[in-house]
Amino acid sequence: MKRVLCSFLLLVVPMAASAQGSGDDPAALQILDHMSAVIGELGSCSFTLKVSRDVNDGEMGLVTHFGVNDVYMVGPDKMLINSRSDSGHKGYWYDGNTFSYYSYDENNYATVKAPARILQTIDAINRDYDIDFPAADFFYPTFTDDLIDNTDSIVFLGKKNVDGKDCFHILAAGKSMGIQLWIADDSLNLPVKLSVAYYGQKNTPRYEATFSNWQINPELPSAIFDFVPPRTAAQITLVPKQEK
Amino acid sequence: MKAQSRKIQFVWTALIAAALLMPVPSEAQRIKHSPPKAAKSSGGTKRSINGGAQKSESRPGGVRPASKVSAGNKTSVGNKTNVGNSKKNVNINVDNSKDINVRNNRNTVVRAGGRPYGRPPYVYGGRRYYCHAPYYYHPYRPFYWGPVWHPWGFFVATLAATAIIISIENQQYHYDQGVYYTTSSGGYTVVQAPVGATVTTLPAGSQTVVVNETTNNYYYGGAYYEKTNGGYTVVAPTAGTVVENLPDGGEEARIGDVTYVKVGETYYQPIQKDGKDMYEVVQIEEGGE
Repeated sequence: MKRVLCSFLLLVVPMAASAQGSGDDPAALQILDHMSAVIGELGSCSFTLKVSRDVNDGEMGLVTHFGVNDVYMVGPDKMLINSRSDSGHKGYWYDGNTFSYYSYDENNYATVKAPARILQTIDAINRDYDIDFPAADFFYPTFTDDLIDNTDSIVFLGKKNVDGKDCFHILAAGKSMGIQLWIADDSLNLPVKLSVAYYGQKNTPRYEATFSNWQINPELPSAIFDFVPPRTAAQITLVPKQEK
Repeated sequence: MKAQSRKIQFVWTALIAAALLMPVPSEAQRIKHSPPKAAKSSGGTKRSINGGAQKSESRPGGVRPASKVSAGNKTSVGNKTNVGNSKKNVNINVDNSKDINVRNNRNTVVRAGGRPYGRPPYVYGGRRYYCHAPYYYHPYRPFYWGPVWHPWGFFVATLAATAIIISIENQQYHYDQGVYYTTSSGGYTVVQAPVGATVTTLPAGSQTVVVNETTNNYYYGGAYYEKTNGGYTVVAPTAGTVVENLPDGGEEARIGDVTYVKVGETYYQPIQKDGKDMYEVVQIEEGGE
C-alpha cells in the first residue's frame, strides 16, 4: 500500500509542480473559495434571482428575455423554484424522489423520476429536458476549480457597488465566454450578480442573473417541496431532448 | 517475479491516477462542472445543499495548472450539442411515411405541406418545429364525432349490417360510417384509418380542411381523405393543415416551452384562428442548435 501511495504521489506532484506559472489572481481565487466554502456549509437557503437572457432571433438580432425566480433549497434533496418569465409562470418541485413541473398559465403538469441529490437532479433535468436552473453554477462544490477549467484567466477588478451593495468584482475570461462575478464584500461573500458574455456566438449575447433576498439556513416546512397537482390540472408528458 | 509484480502495480496506479485527474464533465447551466474529486472538502455535511465545497489539491497556491487540459478550450461551452447535424434537412415524419406497415399508425405520419413558412421554427433538442400560426395554448379535449363514431381501441362485439370490407396491403379492415375495425378475439377493435383505403362516399359530418392553395382534404374522426377516381382515399396528414378537433388517444407532450398534442406520430400545435381554438399539423425537421 505504501509503495502504491508513493507511486501515486510521484505522478501527481510533478504535474502540480510544473503547473506553477502565471495566471489567476490569488485574491480573486480566495474570494471565490470563501464564497464556495460558505455555500458548502449551508443546510438550507432561499433567494430571489432576476435573470435577463439575450437570444439571437434571426434577422431581428438580439432579443432580451427577462424572468424572476424564487428559489428554496434544503440539503441534500429538496428544492422549489417559482419562476415568472417571458415563457410564463411555472413551478418546479423536487422532493428527493421525483421532479415535478407545473404551468400555472396552462394548468398542466408533469412528473418524472429524479436522482437522490439536488445537483444530480439539476444536471439530469437540464440535460434531458433543457430546463434552465439559473445561476445553479454557484452551488457546485467545485465551482472555483471549474471556473479555472473553463476559462483562461481569473482576475480581481476591485471593489464595486451593485444596487447599493459593496462587492468584489471578478472577471473570468476565456476564448468563448467572459464571466463577471460580483461577490458581496461582507462576512458571507455570497454572490450578488453574474454576467456571462458569449463571445463565440453571433452578436455576443449576454446572460445576467442578480441575487437578492438571501436567507441563510431558514427553517422551511418540508410540505412546500411536495407537489400536489390542482384538481383540474391536466397531466402531460415531458419530452426528452433526445427522444427519437 | 517481484519486479514484474511491481511493474503491474505501477501501471495500475498510473491508470487510477490518470482517471482521478481527468475530469468527467457533468452538464450544468453556464459552466461545465466536474464531479466531486477525491479532494479535501472544506466543511459541509451530508445534510448540506451540496455536501461541502471542494478545492483541488493541485492548486495549493491558488495558481492555474498551466499543463492541465482546459475544458475552456471547447468553443461549445454553454451551447447545446447539435443533435443530428446533417446538412440535408430531412422531415423525419415524411421519411417514416415510406413504411407501408399500416398497422403501426402510419396514417398519422406527416407529409410536407409545400407552403413556405413565414415564421422561424421553434428549435429544441436538435429539431425544428414549423408552424404557420403562433402557439396559443388551449387544453386538449378529445372530440367525439357522434354516436356511430368510436375512438381507436374501442371494442364491439358485432358490426352493423352496413359495414364493408376493405383490403390494404393484404390486411383486411371492416369499415362502417367513418370507422375502421380489425377482427379481434370475440369481436372487432377500432383502429386508425389505413392510408390508401378508399371509400365511395365521405362519412357524414366530414369537414373540408385547406391543405394549400390548390388542395383540400376532408377530415373526419382524425383521418384525412383526398378525392380520387375511386372516391375518397385516406391520406397522411399534411403539415400546415388546420383542424378544429382531435380524436381521443392523443397525448399532450411538452417539448421545451411548447405543449403539443401528439396523435399517433403527428404533432399538433394548439393555435387560435379567427378567435377559435384550433390545431395545426406541425412539420418537424432534424437540425437546429
